[in-house]
Amino acid sequence: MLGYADDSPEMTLHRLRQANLVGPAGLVSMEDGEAIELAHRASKPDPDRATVIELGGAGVISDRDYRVTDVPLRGFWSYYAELLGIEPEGAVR
Amino acid sequence: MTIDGNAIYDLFAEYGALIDAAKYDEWLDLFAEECRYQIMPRENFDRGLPAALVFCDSRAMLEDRIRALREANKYNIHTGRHVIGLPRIVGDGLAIDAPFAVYQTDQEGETRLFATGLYRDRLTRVDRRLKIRDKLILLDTFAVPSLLATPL
Repeated sequence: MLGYADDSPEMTLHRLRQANLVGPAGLVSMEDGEAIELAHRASKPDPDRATVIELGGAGVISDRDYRVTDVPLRGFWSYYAELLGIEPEGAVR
Repeated sequence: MTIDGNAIYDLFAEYGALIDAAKYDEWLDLFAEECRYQIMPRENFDRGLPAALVFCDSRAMLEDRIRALREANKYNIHTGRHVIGLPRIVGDGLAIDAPFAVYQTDQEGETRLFATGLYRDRLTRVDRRLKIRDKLILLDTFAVPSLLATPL
């Protein structure tokens, strides 16, 4: 989607110019395409099913100084679920 | 106005050669002062949808693209090869179509077909030289492999 049917011609032109920022030729997102393609390739062997790509992150949830594995992300969502009272059965804190 | 076929052939040959040789300043010089350059998937064009992958409606925007390529973009280092088919005069006002294919060879020595499509150009005469006033690059597919950094 680029814009809305009732956009003025000026607004459409503005959106067309702005679209230079995103996509495979996007001035701010170009290399993201490379990363996404790597992830696509990694998930390709089983196209009819869901693929989970883990970035490390198994084991005990604990404070870390970095976010290069999934442990801090699991910690975030664990605490989020705890705060909202939506923890699933057997959830790890 | 008579159209000199050789001048048109020269322009298209220069166009591909300059990009592949990374002579981007000379490449920019093939465009008129007031110009437009778009890379658009054929699907959008056929349906009359204006969204493009690259939309430069001024020479300055095109120059910005080259500056970004040189100074800002992170992209796969490669050698490009433009194979441009014979240009065909399709209408008055120096309207020219030409099919193209672009191959890329990466640093591991693997060559792959990167893009195919159609150039739809509107040329103009500037000081007895032909220059590109409007270049619409219609890609045969919307699925660009990974990223599109160097000009097509």
